[in-house]
Amino acid sequence: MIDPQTLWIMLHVVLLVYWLGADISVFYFSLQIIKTENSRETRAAIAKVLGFVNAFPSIASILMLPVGLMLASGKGLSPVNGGWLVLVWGLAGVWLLISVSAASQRGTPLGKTYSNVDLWVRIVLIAVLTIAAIASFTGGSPFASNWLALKVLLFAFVLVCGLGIRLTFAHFGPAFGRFMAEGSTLETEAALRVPVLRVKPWVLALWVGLIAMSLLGIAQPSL
Amino acid sequence: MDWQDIFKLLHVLTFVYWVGADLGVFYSARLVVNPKYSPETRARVLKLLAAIDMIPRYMLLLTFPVGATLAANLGYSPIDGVWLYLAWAAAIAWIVMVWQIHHRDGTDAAKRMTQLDLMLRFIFIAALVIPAITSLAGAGPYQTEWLPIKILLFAGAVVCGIGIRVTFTPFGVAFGKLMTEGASPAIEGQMTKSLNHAVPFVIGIWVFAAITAFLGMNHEILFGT
Repeated sequence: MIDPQTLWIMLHVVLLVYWLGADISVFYFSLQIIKTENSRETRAAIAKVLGFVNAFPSIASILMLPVGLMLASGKGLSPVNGGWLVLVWGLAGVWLLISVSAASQRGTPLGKTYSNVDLWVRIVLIAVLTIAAIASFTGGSPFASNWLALKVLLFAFVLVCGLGIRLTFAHFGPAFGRFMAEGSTLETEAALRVPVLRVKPWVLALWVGLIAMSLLGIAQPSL
Repeated sequence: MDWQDIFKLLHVLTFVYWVGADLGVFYSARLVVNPKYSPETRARVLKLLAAIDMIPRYMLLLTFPVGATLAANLGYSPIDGVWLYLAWAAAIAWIVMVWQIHHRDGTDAAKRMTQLDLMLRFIFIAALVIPAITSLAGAGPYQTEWLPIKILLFAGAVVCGIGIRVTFTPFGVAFGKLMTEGASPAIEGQMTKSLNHAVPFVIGIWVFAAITAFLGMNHEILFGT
């Protein structure tokens, strides 16, 4: 029988592939969507590519935490075991449904509600993860290994970057709608450009966070 | 934390950017064969697709010297010392050439380099496959079982890359016609057919890369070495 840990570690890395790896496509195409040399029709096509590719990081980021907790539990590094793990998976499943519904119903009142719930889930999660990490550093619990506690803290940081991206990018959708309706004018181009350029530092910070987390997971240093 | 960990991270990142960046390429290719879009838009999307496609191309070449460094540090590979430096130099030179092929697209120099690149890939596949098979037969040079299996799977991904290139050739011809003669059902059919023929090879690369990664992450549990 194959050791389940081998499959969880694989899934953990595959989620990174579809988060960090897919993000480079999102980044590149989002820079292209503000280029005036691309026609309106081309930019509509780019928006379709963005919509498709961006779904992958969204889903991968939600599944990353329960998969990481499976690994930590298998290694005996986490108090989240047994029934608690089942609960974590249940909550992650509900969150995933909310997040996917928010994306698929975007523009409707129901979509707005899903999006708000998703936002609050993230805020609560950032708080919970930060508190758990700090408690682990200072009191050795819930995570006895400092590298794991640091990973948890970095995950909270990455979620903060995600919120930064979301808040900065909130203006992009309406701006793109106006651009498609009114065409290229100084105003519509500027309205498109501002969120894409302002989102850059958040994206880069998120990538740095993910790469730092990967290194911690690989090296598992005694900190 | 030591250098081996840094190389492990690099090895994971080459996998991440290889397979992850491919998603954008895969999806935008569907837009290029969508007749709802004008030829100008399709040409532009193809250009963007080609640009993002460079990332997986570089990663396929970069992952080898990184993996060879890891294997050498474990003492499992004969590509060590000066040979390892050579492997790095060759990979970097090859990446520069692949970049030049993209950068000078359409020139005679790019065509010649494309042919050289294809020849190099056949040599590369032979250089991967032959020692891997002799190692599995017990004659070396690799010291452990999982490494030659991994190398064979990686060679499979390189073969799939050639498969994409071959099946995609009619696409380029048809796309050239689309740009000069305008859209016609025959041209659209040719493009879609060519793209559909490439899909199994694309999925093949993902599967080979994924199993290779799986072995890399779990060889200690699965093989004890």
